[in-house]
Amino acid sequence: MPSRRSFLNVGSLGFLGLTLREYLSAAKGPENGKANSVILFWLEGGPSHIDTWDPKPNSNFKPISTNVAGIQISELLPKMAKHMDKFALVRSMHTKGNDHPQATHYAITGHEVNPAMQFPSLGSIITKEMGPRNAVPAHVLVPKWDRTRQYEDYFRASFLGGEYDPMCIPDPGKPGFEVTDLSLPKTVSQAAVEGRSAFLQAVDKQYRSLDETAQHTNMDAYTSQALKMILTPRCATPSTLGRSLKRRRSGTGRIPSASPRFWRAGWWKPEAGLSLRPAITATPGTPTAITIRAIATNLRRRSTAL
Amino acid sequence: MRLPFAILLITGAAWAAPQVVSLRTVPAEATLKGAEATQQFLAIAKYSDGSERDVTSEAEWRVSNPGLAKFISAARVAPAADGTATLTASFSGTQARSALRIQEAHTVHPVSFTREISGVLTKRGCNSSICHGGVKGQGGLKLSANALYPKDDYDWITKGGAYQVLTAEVKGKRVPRIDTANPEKSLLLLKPTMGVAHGGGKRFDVDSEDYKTILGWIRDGARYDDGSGAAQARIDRLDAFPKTAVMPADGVHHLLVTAHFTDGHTEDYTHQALYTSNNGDVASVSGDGVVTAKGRGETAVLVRAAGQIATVGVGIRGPVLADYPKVTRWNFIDDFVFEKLHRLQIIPSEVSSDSEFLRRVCLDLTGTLPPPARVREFLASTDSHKREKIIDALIGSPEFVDYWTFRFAEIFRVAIFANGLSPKWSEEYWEWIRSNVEKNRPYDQVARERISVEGYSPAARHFLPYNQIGAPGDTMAEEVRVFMGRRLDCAQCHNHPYENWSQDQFWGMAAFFSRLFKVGPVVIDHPTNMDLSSKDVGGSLDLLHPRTKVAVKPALLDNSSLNLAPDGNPRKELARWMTSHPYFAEAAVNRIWGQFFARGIVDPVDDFRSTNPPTHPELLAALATDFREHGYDLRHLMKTIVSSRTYQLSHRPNATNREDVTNYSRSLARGLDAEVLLDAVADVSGMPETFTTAVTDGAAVGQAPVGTRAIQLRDPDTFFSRFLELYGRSNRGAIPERNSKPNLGQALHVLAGSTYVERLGGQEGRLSRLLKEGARDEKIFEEFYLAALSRPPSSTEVSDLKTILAQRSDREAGLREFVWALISSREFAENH
Repeated sequence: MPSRRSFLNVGSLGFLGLTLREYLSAAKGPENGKANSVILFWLEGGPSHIDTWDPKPNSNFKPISTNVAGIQISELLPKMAKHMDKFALVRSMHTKGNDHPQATHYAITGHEVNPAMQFPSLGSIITKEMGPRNAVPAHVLVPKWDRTRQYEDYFRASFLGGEYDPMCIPDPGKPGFEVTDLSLPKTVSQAAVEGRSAFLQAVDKQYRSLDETAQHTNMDAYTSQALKMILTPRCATPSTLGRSLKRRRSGTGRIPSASPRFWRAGWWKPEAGLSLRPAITATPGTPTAITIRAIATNLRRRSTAL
Repeated sequence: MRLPFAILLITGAAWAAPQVVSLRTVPAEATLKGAEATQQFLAIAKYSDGSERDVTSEAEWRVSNPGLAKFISAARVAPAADGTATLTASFSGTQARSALRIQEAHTVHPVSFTREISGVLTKRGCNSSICHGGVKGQGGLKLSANALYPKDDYDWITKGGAYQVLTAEVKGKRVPRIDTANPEKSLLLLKPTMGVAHGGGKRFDVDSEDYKTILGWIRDGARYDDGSGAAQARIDRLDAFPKTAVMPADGVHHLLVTAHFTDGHTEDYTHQALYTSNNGDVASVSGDGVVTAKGRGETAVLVRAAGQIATVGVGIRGPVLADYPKVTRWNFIDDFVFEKLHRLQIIPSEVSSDSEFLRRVCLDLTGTLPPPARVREFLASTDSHKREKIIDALIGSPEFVDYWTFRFAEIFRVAIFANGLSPKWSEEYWEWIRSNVEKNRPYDQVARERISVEGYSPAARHFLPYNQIGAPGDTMAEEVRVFMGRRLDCAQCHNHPYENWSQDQFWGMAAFFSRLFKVGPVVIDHPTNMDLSSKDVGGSLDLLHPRTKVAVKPALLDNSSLNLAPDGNPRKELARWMTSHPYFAEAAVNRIWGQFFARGIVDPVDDFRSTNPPTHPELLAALATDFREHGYDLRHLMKTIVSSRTYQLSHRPNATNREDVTNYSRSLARGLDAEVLLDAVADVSGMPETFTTAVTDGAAVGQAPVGTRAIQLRDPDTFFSRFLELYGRSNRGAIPERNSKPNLGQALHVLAGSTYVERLGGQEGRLSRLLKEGARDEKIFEEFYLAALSRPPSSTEVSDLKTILAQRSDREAGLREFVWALISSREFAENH
C-alpha cells in the first residue's frame, strides 16, 4: 500500500490516462493489505497541530513518547500514543493561503481555488473509482453544515457528476436526529406512497410514450432504490446509518461492512476539540478523542498486518 | 402470396437507382515544383438524385503526356520533366479534366529539419501528446506537439539533454541524439527502428523512405533550414477538402490537404499530414487520408501538420430518401440547419403545438411557467401572429430581467466570498449586472467594462475573491473562458498538450493582470513609479515566467501590436482587442444558443478547440456576424433564435430523426435547472418557498422577503436550500458547470423531502383554494395541468385520473397525491 503521503500527492491523474485504482496497484509498496474505505475527519478549525501531533517548544503542552521509537506526540493524546504504530503521521502539510475555505478547497480537491474550473473532491473521486458497496450510498458527509453551503460544495463531485456528490446527514448527536429524506413524515403512510405511483404513471404515460430517454431510465432506477430505502423497515427510522453513527459517538461502534466508501466526519465548534487554555487537559469525553480512539481500536481489531 | 409483392419491390428499386450525371476532379489545376513534389487528385461523381460520391479509386486516370508526369499511385502524380499536361479521369461514361504544370522537375532541394524531419516526427506520431509531444516528453526527449516549435525540437535532437517541465534548465549531460560521424548509430534512427529498446515501438523500417530521409539529413550536416539562405516560408494554414464529407454507411472518401505557405505558394500535403478520427465507431481514417464509414452518426477527422490543424466534418447518413420533403424556412438559421439535415437525409420534426411552444418559450426566455389564464388565452387565440406577439411580450418583461440577471450572475459569479467577502459589495455587483440586463446594454460594452474596470466600481468586484486580488493567470483564464470561449488553463505550466496555446502566450496574456492591486475595495493597476506595498500587502510588479524566470511583458494571443502607456491601465487594450476579436462574438452567440437548445453549436459552450469543432460552422459564423452587425444586442439575438422554425420544432421524433442529438432536427428535452424547477414547484402548488440564511441551531438569522423566487436570489450561496443543492445549484466559486443529472438524493427528496411534503400538507395554495371554491374533479385536473404542463389533460388522462381518485377513500388526500404526482413527473421537470 503506498504511503498516505503519495496518496495525497497524486493530484490529477486524468491526463495520464490512469485511474486511481491503476495507480494504486502500479505503485506497489510493501503489501500490507488494501484499504476499502476511508473515513475523513475534517476538523474545520480544529485544535492546533502544535498541541496535538506536531509538538513544538512553544506549545503549552509537553510531548510524550509513543510506542514508536522516535515519534513523540502531545501529552493530550496518551491513548493514541499507545497505538502510534498504526498511524502514518504527515507533519509537512501546508497551504499557500491562510483562509479556511481556500485551505479546505486545496486539501479536499488538491487544487487551489480556481475561478475557471471547479475540481472534484477526494471522496467523489474514490466513489467514482470504487463504486458503492452493498447498495449503501458510497459517499457520506456528516454532519452537514447548517450554515452557508460554501464548504460543503468543496466536497462535491463537480465535473465527475452529481451521482458522486456526498449524501449529507445531520448531526446524530442532536435531538430529533433522522437521516434527511430517508424517513417518511408521520402524515404520510406507506399505502399513500404506493398510491402515489399510480397517479404518477397516469400523469407521465403520454409523455414517456413519446420519448423514453436514458435520463428517464436512470431516474426510475434511483426512484426504485429510494423507495426501497424508505419503505424497508431496516432502513426506516432509526436508519442503519443513524444507528451506527450514534454508536460510534459513544465510542462503542464497529465499522459495519455495509458502509459507505468515504465518510467525512467533523465538527465545527472548537469546544468539540481540545481546550487550549493551559493547565486544562483534554476532556476525555469529547467526540474527537472518542472517535479517534474508536477507529484505532477498530483498525486494530480488523487488521493483522497493520 | 407475398412473392409477387417482393418482386415488385426489387424491380422498383432497381429502376430507381440513381445514374451518374457528371464528374469533376479536384483540384482543377495544380503546379508541381521541384523533384519531390507530388499531387493527389480526387474524382467526385454527381448522381441524378443530387448526391455526390467520391469515386477516386474507381475511376480511370490518364496523363496526356506521360513523359512529363507519372502516377505513383492511383490518382497521385509525380514530376518527370518540365511542361504542362492534362490529367483526365473517366468513370461510368463521364469524364473530367485537370490542368497540370510541372516546374523544376530535376531540382532537388536539400532536406531541412523544419520541412522534412518535422514532417516525419509528426506523421510517425513521435510528437503526439501521448509520446514525446506530451507534457513531460518521454525518456527525457521532449518534442513540441505537432511540430509547433521546430527550433526547440532541433535543439533537443542535435544537442541532447533531458527536458524538465518546471524549469528551463537541462537535466544531465547533453549527449546529441544524432551522430554525424556514424549517422546510422544516431539515436534518432536506432530508436524508431527498434535498433535499441524504444518504449514507442517501431515507427518505421530501416528500408523506409523516412529512414532514408533522416539518414540523408544527418549525412548532409543535419541542417535546421534548407541552406538556401532565404527566409524559410512556414505553413500558414491547412486547407482540407472537403470541409464536410457526407457518405452512406458503406462509403469511402479520400481527403485532399493543401498547405498554404507564408510566402503565398501552396503544396499538396495529403500524404504528409497526420490524420486522426474523433470517433472510430463512426468513421476511421487511414494514414493516407482515406475516410471509411463505420456506423451511422457524425464525427470529425483532424488533419495535423507543422503546427497547424484542419478539421473535416464527417457524416454517415442513412439511405437516400426517395422523397425528401420541402422544408419551410423562416429565417437564416433555418437555411443552415435544414440544409445540413437534407445532406444527412434526416427529416426535421413538425412544428410544435401551441402548448409545447408556449411552455418552452416562457421557460427559455423568462424561467417562469405561464399561468393558466395566459395558457387559455394563447391556446384559444386565432391570431396568426400570436407566437411573434408572445415573443415580443416576453422579451424585456420583468420576469425576463429577473431570469437573465440570474443567468449572468452565474456566469459572472455573484457570491459574497467571490466578491470581496462583503455582502454590500456583492450586492452592488449584482445591481450592476441587473441594470445591464434591464437596459439591454450592448454586450461588448459590458465585457469591456468588466475586464478593464478600475476604482471603486461594482463591475470590479469579481477581481476580489476572498478579498484578495486573484492570481493573474487565473484571472486572465477566467476572462478568456467567459468572453472568448477558450480554455487556456492547461498552458499555465507548459505548452498546451492538444491545442496551439503555448506557455509563453498564456503568461503574455496573464501579464495584463499582473499589476492589478487593491486598496480596500478599490481596484487599480499598481503604478510603476512607486511602491504601494506594505509588509502585509505584496507589491511585486513583475510577473515572472514560471519556467524561464524572466519577467513577462503583456502580449496578445495573436501577437497584434500593443500601445501600452507605462503607467496606464493595460486591461483597456486587452478589453478592446478581446471584444473586437472574432472569438468574442462567436463565443457569446454560442453561449446564448446553448440556453435555448440542448447543446451549443460548440459544446460545452465555452470549450472551443480544434478537437471539438462546431456542428454547424457556417451557422455559427452567420450568427456571430449578425450579432456584431446589430451592435452586440442580446435581445435581438434571442429573438432571432426563438423566431426560427428550428427552435419551434416539436420534440416528437419521426422515423428518421429519433437518434439525432446534434443537428436540431427536433427539440430535445432538457431537465429544468434547480432554481427554475423550484420556482415552478412553488408556482404550481401556489405556495412560495421561503429562503432563510445562515441557520444556526434552528434560529433563522435572516429571511428573504416572502414571495422571493429562486431566480431572484441575489447571492444564493448564503440562502440555504436543500432542494437547490440536490438539483445541482453551482456555488460560483468557479465558472459554473451545472450538473443536474438524476441522482439518488433527488429521488429520496421527491419521495420524502420537505419541499414536497410541506406543500402537500399545507392549507394555502392552489389546491386548497380550489377545494374551498367547491371545484369539481375535472376542473381541478384541468387547472393543475394548465399550470404545470401548459396544456389541458386529454380525455384519456382525465378518465384515468378519475378512476384512480375514485379508489381513494379520502378525496382530498387523493387530490394531494395527484398534485404530488404532477410535480414529480418527467413532463413537468423537463423543458421539451
